[in-house]
Amino acid sequence: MAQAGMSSAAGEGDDKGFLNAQNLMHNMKIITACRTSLCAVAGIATGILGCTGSMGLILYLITYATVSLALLAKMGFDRSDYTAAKKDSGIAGFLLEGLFGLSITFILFWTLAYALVYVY
Amino acid sequence: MVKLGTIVAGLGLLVLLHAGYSAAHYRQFIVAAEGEAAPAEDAPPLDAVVETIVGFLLCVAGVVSAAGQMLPVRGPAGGGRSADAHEGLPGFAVFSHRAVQLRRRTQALIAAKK
Repeated sequence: MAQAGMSSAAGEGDDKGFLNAQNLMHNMKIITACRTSLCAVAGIATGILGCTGSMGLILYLITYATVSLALLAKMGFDRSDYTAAKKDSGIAGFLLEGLFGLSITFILFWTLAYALVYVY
Repeated sequence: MVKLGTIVAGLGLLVLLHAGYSAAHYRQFIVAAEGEAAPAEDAPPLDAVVETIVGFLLCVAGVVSAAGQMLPVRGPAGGGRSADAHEGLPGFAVFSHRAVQLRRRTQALIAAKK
């Protein structure tokens, strides 16, 4: 009951006031979980297509941007409602955000699928 | 009850697996036809490529929609606090009131009615 109507003061403040840190963490969890699982699926798809080397990395960028676009659509194309971004911030920063961390996952599933289809 | 997004994502995975199987099968055809293993540069046939893309897009749509609702991060200015003091302030929580007596009387009335 102490939570009713009170936002926690943690998290970055913007011009108006405080962000609801609980909801922010919840949204970040959703975004990260979606990105991780879909990067794995993208790795499998790239392996099936038989891409090697730079073609595969280009495909990684394209699939990652697609996943981010889908997440943006889920947020109604207004990032400021659900993340800590400022109002009216562009989508370009969000499209390739966090891709270095998930590149290992992508490469893992990519080599797995490539080996299963093309080597065995 | 299973979410629709989960079903769509599962379908996308199945389509992807089927595309992979057909790509592997295609390479076996090449081995049977030419008598030696297919070079690794051979792309799978066009329908397998299209099927892979379709499977991936189905997975994206399914996972993103099944991921759960996003909650708004910026509340109304001022924190959205209500002016109703009785909800939050512990000083207004009364513990000694007439509910005990009331319950006893109601029970007695119900018992008397039977």
